[in-house]
Amino acid sequence: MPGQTPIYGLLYPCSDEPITPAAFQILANQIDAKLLELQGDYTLMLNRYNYDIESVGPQNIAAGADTVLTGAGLTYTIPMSGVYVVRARSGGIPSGAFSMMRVRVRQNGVVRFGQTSNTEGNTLVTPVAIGPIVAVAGDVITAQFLYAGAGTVNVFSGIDVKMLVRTA
Amino acid sequence: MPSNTVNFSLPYPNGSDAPCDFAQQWCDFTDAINNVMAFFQAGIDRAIPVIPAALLRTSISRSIPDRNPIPFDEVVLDTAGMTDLDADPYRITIPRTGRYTVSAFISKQTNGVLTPSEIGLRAENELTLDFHVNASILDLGVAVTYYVPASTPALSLVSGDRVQIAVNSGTFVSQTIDSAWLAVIWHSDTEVPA
Amino acid sequence: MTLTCPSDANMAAVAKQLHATALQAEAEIYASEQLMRSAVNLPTVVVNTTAAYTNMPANIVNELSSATWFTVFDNTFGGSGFGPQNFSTFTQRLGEGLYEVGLCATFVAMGAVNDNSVRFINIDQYRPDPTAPTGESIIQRSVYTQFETNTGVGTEVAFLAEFRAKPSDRFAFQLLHGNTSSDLQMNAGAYIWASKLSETNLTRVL
Repeated sequence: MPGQTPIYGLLYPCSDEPITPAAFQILANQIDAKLLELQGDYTLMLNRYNYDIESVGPQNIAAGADTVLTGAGLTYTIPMSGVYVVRARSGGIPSGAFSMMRVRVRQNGVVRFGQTSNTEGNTLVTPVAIGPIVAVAGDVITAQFLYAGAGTVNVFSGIDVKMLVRTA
Repeated sequence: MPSNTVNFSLPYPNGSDAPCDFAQQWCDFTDAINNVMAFFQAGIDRAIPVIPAALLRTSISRSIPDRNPIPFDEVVLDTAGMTDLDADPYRITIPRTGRYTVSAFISKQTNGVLTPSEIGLRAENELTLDFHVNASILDLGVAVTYYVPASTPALSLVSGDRVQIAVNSGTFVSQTIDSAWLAVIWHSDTEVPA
Repeated sequence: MTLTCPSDANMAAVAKQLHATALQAEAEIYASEQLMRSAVNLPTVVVNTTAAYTNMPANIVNELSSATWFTVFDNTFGGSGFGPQNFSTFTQRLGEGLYEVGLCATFVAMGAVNDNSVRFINIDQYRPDPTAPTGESIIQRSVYTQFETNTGVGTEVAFLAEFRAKPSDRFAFQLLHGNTSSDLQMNAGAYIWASKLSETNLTRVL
């Protein structure tokens, strides 16, 4: 009976058994397959997930309406379970007076964190929120925007994401 | 003639090879594995336990012309030769093309302008003036210290790019910057959304 | 006379070599695998609150770490002695290095709101300093200056900073506000978090 290594079960012939060419082929292919898996780890190590999209828009939002941002690319689906840092930003100059703007980051529709801006004197101060998301693969990251004031606003938005930790 | 594995073309003896050729053929096999592992090790050396990162800081209050880069006087961290305050006190130089986290912070006094204005902090690529890291707060004109942090998780930067920070007070006059710091930290070689 | 090669039936030495190769390959691959996976498993702790932290008066420094925090994520195998309430001293556990530290919170007035009153929300890095009156000095700060908008949503912040820290350092998460008409509270769902991005006492290979 062939022996096998303790971690990956690589097969090798025992000293008392006839060795056929298959023994070489089996071990070589097993090592080859493990190296391929290792290459996957190598690629992720040097290329942790990250994403950014900027200035998508505009999206028209009415004053007082906390609105999910729906522009192309503003929805990010978590590719691998882990801890991510997510940044969202959104803003524009409304058609009426405005005293506050807020952007929030959501995970599967649940608000996780956000940032308000005081826009006293109708001063555009674009809110930018950045924080952690502990996620599983398939979780959907979106953002929403709200402003206090009058009229409507055409907002331009962006989302950035980077993976800190892999838990899968 | 030896056969080769599918993925890494590792050569191994097959049924047509003579047993007395085993030693050389098996050495070829182990050498091939060693080469693959050496390649992987070079990648490991780049990523753990130290990554390219630099953090510059200043706590000296200075008058800086509006929208001009802020100079630093302290290298808090530089793991990859990204800074040289003697040659350039303003910037962090990117050592290798990739995706970087860029974070910054300033503290300053009010513009003194009664009309509310925006204080913008942006980290920009000095060569192109492209920026993706910016944040702003409201200056109400009241006499408090204005603190502005900014960060972006992952920004594409090319080897040789130089990152600096500047404040835009909206007044076109010099601003008193009390303190600041700028950090550039490697995250990934490429943008990988999924 | 001709020299013979080992026959098919007498390959004990070959078997021994394959065994050695298998073990060595496994050891090398396993070691590399663990290193690669640790590179994407940076020591990270995320804690949050599940209840409001109330009664924060104006014009004094309110320590947010005094709230009750719960672990959301912790891959540091901290075990006892490194619970959420010890979060401010995570560098003691994780050692010297480059850290990314963040705070997300919403502050609302518990009573009357003072329009445009100031809020300072801090992440401050302290280091022991026997020459300082308090025995420690601030090494680096990241602070947000905000003004209350009086629009019913309070002040919401979510920001981070990068620090080079030593094991003796501690981090303070604080609120200082000017809403003199009433105390503020920090709503449930606040986060503080930290991740060790890199060692700092080695020069890396480019």
